[in-house]
Amino acid sequence: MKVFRGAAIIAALCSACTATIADPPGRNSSRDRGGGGGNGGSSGSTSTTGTTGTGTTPTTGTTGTGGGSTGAGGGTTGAGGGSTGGAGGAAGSGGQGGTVTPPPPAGTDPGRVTLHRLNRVEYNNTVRDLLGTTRAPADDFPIDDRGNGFDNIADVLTLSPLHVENYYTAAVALVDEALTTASLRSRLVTCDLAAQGATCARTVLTNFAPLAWRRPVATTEVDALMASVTLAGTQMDAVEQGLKIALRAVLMSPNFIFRVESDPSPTSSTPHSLGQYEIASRLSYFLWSSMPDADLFAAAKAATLGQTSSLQAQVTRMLASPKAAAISDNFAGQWLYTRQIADATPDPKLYPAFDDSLRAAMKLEMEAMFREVVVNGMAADKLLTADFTFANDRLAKHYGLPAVGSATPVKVSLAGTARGGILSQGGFLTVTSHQNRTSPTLRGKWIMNQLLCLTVPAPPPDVDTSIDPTKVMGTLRQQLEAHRSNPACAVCHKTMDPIGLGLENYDAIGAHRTTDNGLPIDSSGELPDGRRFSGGPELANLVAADVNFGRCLVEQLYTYALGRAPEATTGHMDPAVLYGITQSFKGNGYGFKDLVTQIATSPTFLNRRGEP
Amino acid sequence: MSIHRVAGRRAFLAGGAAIVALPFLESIELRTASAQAMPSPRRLLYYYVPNGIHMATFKPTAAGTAYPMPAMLMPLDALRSDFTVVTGLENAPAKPDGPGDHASGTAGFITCAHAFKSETTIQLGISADQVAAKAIGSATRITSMQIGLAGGSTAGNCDSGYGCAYARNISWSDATTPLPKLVDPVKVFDQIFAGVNPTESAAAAAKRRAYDKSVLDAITSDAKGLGLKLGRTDNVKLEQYLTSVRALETKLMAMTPVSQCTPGTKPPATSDFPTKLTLMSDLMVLAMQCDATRIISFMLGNAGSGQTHPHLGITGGHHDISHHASDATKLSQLATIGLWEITQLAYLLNKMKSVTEGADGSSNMLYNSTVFFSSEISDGNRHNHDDMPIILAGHGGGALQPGKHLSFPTNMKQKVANLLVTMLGTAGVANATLGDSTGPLAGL
Repeated sequence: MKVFRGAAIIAALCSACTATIADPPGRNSSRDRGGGGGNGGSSGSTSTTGTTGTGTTPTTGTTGTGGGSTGAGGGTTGAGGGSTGGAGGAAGSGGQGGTVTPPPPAGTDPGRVTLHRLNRVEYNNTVRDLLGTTRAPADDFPIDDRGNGFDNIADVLTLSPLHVENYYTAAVALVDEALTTASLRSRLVTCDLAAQGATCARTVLTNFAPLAWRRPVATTEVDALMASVTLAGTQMDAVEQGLKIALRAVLMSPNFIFRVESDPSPTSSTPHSLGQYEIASRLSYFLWSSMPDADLFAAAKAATLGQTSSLQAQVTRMLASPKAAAISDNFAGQWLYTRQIADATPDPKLYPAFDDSLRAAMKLEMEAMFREVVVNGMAADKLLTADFTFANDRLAKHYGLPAVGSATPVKVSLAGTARGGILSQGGFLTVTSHQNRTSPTLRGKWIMNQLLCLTVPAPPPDVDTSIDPTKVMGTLRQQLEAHRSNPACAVCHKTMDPIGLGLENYDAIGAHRTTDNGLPIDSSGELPDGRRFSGGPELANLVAADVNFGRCLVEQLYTYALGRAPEATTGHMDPAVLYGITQSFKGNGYGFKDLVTQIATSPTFLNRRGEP
Repeated sequence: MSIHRVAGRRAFLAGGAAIVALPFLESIELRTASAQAMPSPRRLLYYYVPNGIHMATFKPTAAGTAYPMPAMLMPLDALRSDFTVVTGLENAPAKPDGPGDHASGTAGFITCAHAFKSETTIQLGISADQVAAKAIGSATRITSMQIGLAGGSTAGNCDSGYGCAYARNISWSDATTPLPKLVDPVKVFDQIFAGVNPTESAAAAAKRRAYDKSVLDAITSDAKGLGLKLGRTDNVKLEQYLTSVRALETKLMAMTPVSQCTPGTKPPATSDFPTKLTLMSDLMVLAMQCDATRIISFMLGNAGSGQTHPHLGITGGHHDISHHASDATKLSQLATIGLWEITQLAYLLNKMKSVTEGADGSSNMLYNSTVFFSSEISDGNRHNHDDMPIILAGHGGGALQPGKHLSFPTNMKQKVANLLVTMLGTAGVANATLGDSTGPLAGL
């Protein structure tokens, strides 16, 4: 059973809430999580041995054995890896939420990730890196369903006939392009196909299949692919035609479409380390949303990916790569809702300033801020409290800042202004608003769900949702206060609204304002634990210092990294691993690279089990 | 010899609807010889609109055949004898556990099954269109089509602890496999005509099939080998894959001509909401006219859609407005949106009726079809799953007697599932069961 499935609920019922549904701008709803940070286990108990062995050996040709997944030589990650991990306590710091719970017991169950279909982004990136194409065939695939806030959750990446039909269309087009475009053909066909015939076709397939399937490929598997080449002969066609068909089969194979992690004994719950090539794929899809590169394949071949030092070196290298933009696009894009900026539809009559150039500037601003965290080592809590941002002229004008003299975003100081951090950024403020007004409810809920991983209480059963709330003129605050005077509505709204009301100085597209409905705005607010504040900057400081902030980011990145929800069942490693990573993350000043490394070296990232 | 079968289309545009030039359809030609020799096929179409319906202007004030046409249904007035308004039915399994009416209501729309509340464990039931697809889908090259206008949001949760799959899909081939929809008219066109090459020789076709087969054989073998190394849940995924590969194989290996139609020009790419809807309506008729499929499900939006309607002067989000709290402005906007939706339905139904069928041309596509139109909830504010707003259009090839308001008291708790069972029967799917069904619904 999945854990962290807290009450999850929101005010979908209260009549005037209108707050809850997500669809176009997926502004919705509560997240399935709840349980407080667990505790302890050490993350770092990965094995020992130093030596970064990587380097050299350019993967490809690995024919070798079947099946892949060698059982990782060397000290596997101590599965049980118990020992209350790093640094004790520290739960209570910044305030609230922090009833200090004892570290959870270290479990022995590393969990398992369901056979993972490549999602659209992963498919596009993978064929880009595999074939050198600039096409993005998966843009035409059905949109991937999300679970737990992310679209890379293996359990909900289902597969339909439409998918397979699309895969075939894509495979045909990709192979045609790869064989007929000189620059692409030269990296694929390294021998003289016309002169050498089937021998060359075999060479091509022997080199290509291991890359496409992200593991060594057995001779018998190449033999099976060669059947198409033989068929071409029967059909009196050239070897080229046979190779084309075989390459389509490689791209249609479940070995390509899915990220396969095999269990030595599929029905055994005994934990085992992942194969080296499976770890390489976990790393590359975590940080790049794509297949492993030559370095990772080489490290897998050298069997160094069970070693902490090797994994640390890989994380450092991979985060420095341009391909790490994937973690901004795909993790932050969904964590911070940056992706939704593209879908926002503010009422043009009420917000004529909102146009595509402002939309683009808002998105670039949020992306640039997150890049500071990924690439430049900015502490993650500074996302909330930074006294600078990235603005172009269009955005600067929107914020009432002096022109920056650039159409592309540049770093600008916000010192002395009413802004700072993502809670004051136009993108966030827009996607948490309705089309025609702000929504303190949605903003409050977003902060609770996305930044603090707090669930909003459920409305009472049988709440009468057809009540016509007392009509109140005046500011939105006054209207919401009237709404909360209804006890049925208050259950949910008393926690969400007072947070979001602190941001009322920003309108539905994030422009600063001092009045609402002609009346002065009161931007005082209160967090669920009773801490009071006034205005966005104070709210941001409180959230950044909240004990739940670090825990929440850890939990979300962990979910994204593994492609599954954290579990809380007895004996599961997740609670202790999450606790340990959270302690380390805080102890290291919210450094993102450290967090990624902690996750990538955790026993749950490096081990799995079968399914009884 | 081929004959233009689409005629006078614009004459059927209901008042107020935008007239969109769709030249691509004018060039569609039917290969009619074989089509006319066969009995007219029965079609099933499931049409979903989000956020409930403004019942005050939808629900007729009297039952029977002589009911006054309600304001929202006026665009259907000319088709009065071709549809029945059904009210008072309940879809009890579609009620969520706690909040989440939009997602669970959408999941239950034509499954009449209760969605398991989870973000990651997806468990529902087969949908009515897929019951039909399994029974009669093999008669056409495309066993069934899933079409919509919105893929889905790009971030955030979908509805109160329900996974997004529940909020975006009404077609489910089994309890764990949602069937995503095509949301781009160009892709729908491609699906209808993919592989259609009227000039392909028999020898070339045989060779093409041989090559396709070698790919399918290779990957089937891969999957079977893989299955031996995987656990139970993984094998569920792999089974989805194998099922889908078999579906592709059926399509690629089809020996009959892939379509009775000559492909026309592709529809233009567009992101304009009303234009897209018109194109999709045209394409649905085209798919059935060409007998590419006989079973279609269509989602005008996703669960709890926040679609804006600037073409109606409504710039607020649909979901926000649907929480009307009895506010006069919001109610008026809901009536306007509902009227527009019904106008679009009328366009589709008129278009179906304009396609003549039968050996003597005395019948038409609408007569031979059954169209189910409804929403995931009844009233947007109450989120109720009883007194569902339903239009059942078409004559089911003579199995139905439309032209009335069939009204059930809600306390009778008559089931939507039973209506869907009756509907399946019109297409020759006898004695079907679905969700909480107990048998066919009488009186239709």
